[in-house]
Amino acid sequence: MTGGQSPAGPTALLAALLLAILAAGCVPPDMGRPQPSTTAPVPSTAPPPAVAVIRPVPDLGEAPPAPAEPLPAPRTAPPVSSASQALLTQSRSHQAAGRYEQAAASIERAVRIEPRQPVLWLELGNIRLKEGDFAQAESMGRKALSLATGDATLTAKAEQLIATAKKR
Amino acid sequence: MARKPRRGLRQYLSRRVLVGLGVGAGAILAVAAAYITLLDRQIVRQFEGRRWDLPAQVYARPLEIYAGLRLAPDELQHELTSLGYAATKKADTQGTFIRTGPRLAVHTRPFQFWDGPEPARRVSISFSDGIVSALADARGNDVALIRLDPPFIGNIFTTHGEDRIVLGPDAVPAMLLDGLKVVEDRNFDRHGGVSPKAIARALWANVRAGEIEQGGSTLTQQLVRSYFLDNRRTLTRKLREALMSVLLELHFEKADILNAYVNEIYLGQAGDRAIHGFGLASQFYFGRPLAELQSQDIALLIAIVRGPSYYDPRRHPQRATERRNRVLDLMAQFGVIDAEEAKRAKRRDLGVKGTASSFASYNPAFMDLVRRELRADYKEEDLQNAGLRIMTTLDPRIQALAERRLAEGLTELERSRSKRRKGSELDGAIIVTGTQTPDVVAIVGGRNARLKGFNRALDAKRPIGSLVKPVVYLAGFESGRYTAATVIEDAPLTLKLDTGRTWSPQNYDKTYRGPVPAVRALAESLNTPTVRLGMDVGPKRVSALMKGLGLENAPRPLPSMLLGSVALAPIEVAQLYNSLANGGFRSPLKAVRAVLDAEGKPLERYRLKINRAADPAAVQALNASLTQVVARGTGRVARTWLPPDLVVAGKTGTSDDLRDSWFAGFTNDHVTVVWVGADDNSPTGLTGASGALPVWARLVADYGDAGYEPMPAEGLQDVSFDFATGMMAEAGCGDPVTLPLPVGTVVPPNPLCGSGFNGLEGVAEQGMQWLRGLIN
Repeated sequence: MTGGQSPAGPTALLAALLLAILAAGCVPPDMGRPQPSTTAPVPSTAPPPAVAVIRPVPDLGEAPPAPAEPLPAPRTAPPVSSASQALLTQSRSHQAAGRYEQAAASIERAVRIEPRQPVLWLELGNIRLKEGDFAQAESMGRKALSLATGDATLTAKAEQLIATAKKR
Repeated sequence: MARKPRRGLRQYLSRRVLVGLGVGAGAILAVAAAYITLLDRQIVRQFEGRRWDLPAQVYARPLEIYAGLRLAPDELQHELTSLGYAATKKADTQGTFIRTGPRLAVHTRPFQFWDGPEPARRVSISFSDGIVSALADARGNDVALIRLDPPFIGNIFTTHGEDRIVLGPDAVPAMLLDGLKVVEDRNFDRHGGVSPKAIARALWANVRAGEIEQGGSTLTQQLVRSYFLDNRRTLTRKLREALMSVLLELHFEKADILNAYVNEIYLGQAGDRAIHGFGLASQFYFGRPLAELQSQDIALLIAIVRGPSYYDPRRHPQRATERRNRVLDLMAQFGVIDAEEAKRAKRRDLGVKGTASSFASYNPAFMDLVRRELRADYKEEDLQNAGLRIMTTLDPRIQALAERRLAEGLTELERSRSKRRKGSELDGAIIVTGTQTPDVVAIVGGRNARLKGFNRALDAKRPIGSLVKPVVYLAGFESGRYTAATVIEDAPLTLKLDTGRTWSPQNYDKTYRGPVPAVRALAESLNTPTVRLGMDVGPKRVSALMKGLGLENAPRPLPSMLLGSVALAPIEVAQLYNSLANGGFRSPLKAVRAVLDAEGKPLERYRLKINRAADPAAVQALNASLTQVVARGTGRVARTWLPPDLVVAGKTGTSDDLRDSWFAGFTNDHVTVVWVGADDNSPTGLTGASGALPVWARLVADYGDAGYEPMPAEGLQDVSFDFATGMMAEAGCGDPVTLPLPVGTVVPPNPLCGSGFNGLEGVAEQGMQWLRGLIN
């Protein structure tokens, strides 16, 4: 006799939900969350003039006279500090085990301690050689060379690194 | 038979109706089912996504300590304190130290770095004259190097960029959970997501127009609402929320839902940083972790839930107190706390500390660069792993110094300026990097460093003016046709441009000095010699060199580019000057050194990359010339603030109409770029020397760096010559300056110098030059 089941259950649920929604609308609104306003206006930058006449103004106050400059003493590469030496040792044991990422990381730490030590840049360059990054090996060699002026041994090593890297 | 057909009709009709109803209901059901399935998927994804969405922790650079490091004992103590190390009588547990005068005994914490683990150690560090003199272990043996754990500088959710203090269930006080339920959703433990009883009660309370004790929304509904940033209270929204709440409850445990609520719910605003979750809110309002809060504090946070703006304890303290006390009453009424405790708590002050703006993101400008680098250099899927650790290059000491010097410097500039003229408010930016490395150690995006607004250091592109000149002279030195001593004419000049128009660049002071050596033209920022040299080597060459030194795009090679009609952001200027300080080697500036996963394994590590951008010898000659900017040139006033023996290389920069004031320069250890200007691009009346330079010099004086030290280069030799004329100089005759020149460079003798001549001849020589200048 009945054509289909009477959908009393789901309809009632829907009705209850609708009632819930309507009632929820009567709850006082959350007064929160203002729209964040930009805290600073975005400045406009005027496009620079095509032909600019720049007038630097030296603010010429009374400055003390320039000190006399002595000629600097001739330089050789400084010896590797003990901190760098410890990191070099660590790096070499990583290299021996084929852990080139970590080997390089140790040298990069040393470079932040002794940035102008050519020995470190040579080491990093050699690691790049082993990793197959020949372009960087050459660059590191050049960096080492620029720091090794006056030191025949290190200059020779740097030139050798550059030559090796260029051949590959 | 009247009945039979009617019964048949009714039967027929009712069958029809029932079938129709059935079909209709079926259709509704089908649509509803599809919709519900969609919502189901959405809400589950949101909930689970957030649940596992742990923030990435960001760290500054670790302090590496070794004998010979320039470090004062107070600085070390400051670093240890900011790391949370405790000063104790016996440094026998991790994270403690003992200070005895110039000595510190430290028990370090272990940390898993990207290159391996650093174990906990007990070390003794001795100082002498601001340098670490000795580093020894517990047994007295020398230690070569130790690395402290890195300072934590913030959280970022790499997916949505917000930040949280995420609390696990054990970290949430029971009083908070019980209080929440009592105030917001008394039936939480029993309902299925929506609570018709609660709704009815709320309705009734509304009708009575009494005070609303409970809203009609359950905690689950509030949670769902907070996932979807939509305050539109439309019917469809409400239906969706209600359905999703039911679905959420079907999928997840009550405890999980409650925990998500505690970490998700919106509780306040700090500038444009939204405060979500009770963990962060506890820091925001009280400056303390949630676990340390008392009953009145917890009650206040619960009170704020209903309306963080309306019940803002800083802006509406009375309203907030009233609601807090109401919450305390409810908590007492339902047994969360006892009546005595409630009475005591109600008498206590709100106890809110600090201001909303002071809580705005720490280091927002630096974190901005970190985020951009992560987006550019790392794969998105990798960044979505939970619990990442991001190791950066930030130096908190330098960052703090830079922020302070910019804010103070701008205030002072405005104060001294207001006597002469009014103008728009000044703002500025600072970038500090290493010299032989591309590490970005500090970024200041504006005078109010706490505000996360426009990041001038990264995004304010302004004409650089004379900051470009070092590149012009470098191109000259590289060509081999110019040295620091090469004499160039400083005299009126007219160029015929490609457009047919003519261009007559002038010096600022409209005077001309006649023949000057290149170093003087650069140090005194003279325009006509610069244009002469630049046109000789060619703007194309200069432009290509700028790109080589690290600019993303080569500037248009127009003659005006030689005087700096190029707009760059401070960080681009920093890249250029970093390449100069790095001896002509370009290494892209970086803020992120490594990203580690939750176990400490490197996800990806930035590999140091360098490329030769210019002839190292030419760069040495240029950098040496740049030292004269401060020693004798437009940057002289810096010597007022710099230590007397500190050598620095740098350049002033001023743009058209005095809209932009720049100084960029370096010591042995840091490259620093300062920009000062007005956001509305109006003229400030400041030059590079009067605006940016005082800020720069005071900051650099704070660093404690070693001075710029020239590197000897192949093919160069130090030669002494007269700064004013480029001729030979001798003691008592002329102003001798010593600079590296290519071996074999001939410096002409000065006919007015030599044995027998005295200072009177020097005066005559100056008179001759002046006369020469008049004639030309």
